Amino acid sequence: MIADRAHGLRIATRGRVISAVGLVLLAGVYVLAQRYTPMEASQGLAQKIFYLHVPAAWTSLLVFSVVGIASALYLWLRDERLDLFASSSAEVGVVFSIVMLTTGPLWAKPIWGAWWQWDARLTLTLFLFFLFVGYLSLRAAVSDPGERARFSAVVAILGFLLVPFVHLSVYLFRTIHPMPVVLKPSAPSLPDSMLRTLLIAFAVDLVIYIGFVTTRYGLGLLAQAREAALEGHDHA
Amino acid sequence: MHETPQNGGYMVAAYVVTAVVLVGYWVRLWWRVQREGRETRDEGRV
Repeated sequence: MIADRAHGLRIATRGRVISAVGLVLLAGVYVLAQRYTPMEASQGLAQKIFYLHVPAAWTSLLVFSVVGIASALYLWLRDERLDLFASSSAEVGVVFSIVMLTTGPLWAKPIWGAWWQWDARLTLTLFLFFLFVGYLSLRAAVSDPGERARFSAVVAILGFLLVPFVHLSVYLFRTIHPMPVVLKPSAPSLPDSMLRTLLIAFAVDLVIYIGFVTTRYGLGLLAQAREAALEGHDHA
Repeated sequence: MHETPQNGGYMVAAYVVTAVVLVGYWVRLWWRVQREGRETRDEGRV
């Protein structure tokens, strides 16, 4: 793949605009959560953390799945664009995981009386986060592009295998984490206003993800263009 | 009668943390693109 500076800049600029739109929409989610959804009587205002925590959790699990699939496709097709897309997505997935792992304890403290519990769902989620931080560290440590892509693809596929366990952990293990209220075999068990706000927040997170990953992809193309220019000078 | 707990501070903290993480990453990406674009242009000139 021959990277071109103008192409990389164009893609990164597009991504920056999409993510800026997503961040403005996120402010709208804040307003919706305050004005449109009812106050949950037993949990108080802390329940409204749900509209940030759950969409961030869904987004990060979805993104890590996408990274695993793109990595498997890379190993099959050896298309460098898949590797760049996977690594860009992994970085954004880690960002959404940080949102999930910080908003979760901020809900848990007033509701459970503790910031953290070594519960199956929480622990597996933390391991998944560490695994993808390891993925990014591995990529930073290996200088050969081919080796970097192959090694990290294997790690990403292993991370992908962990995703169903994270989702099903509330069924497989005894856990204090709330059971799914939407992604479950029966109908969602939420009032309409809560469900709508939750789904809107998830859609907004997806817009932000698309914006971030597009920007990060463009950044990767720029880095490749710089490396190509450097190699050109070395050969000259 | 059951009283609604007063825990709005945790909600505010969660909303602030989310905004800081996402806007912070957006700013960082912006800065990285600017720097990489500049360096790529400079390498092209050498």
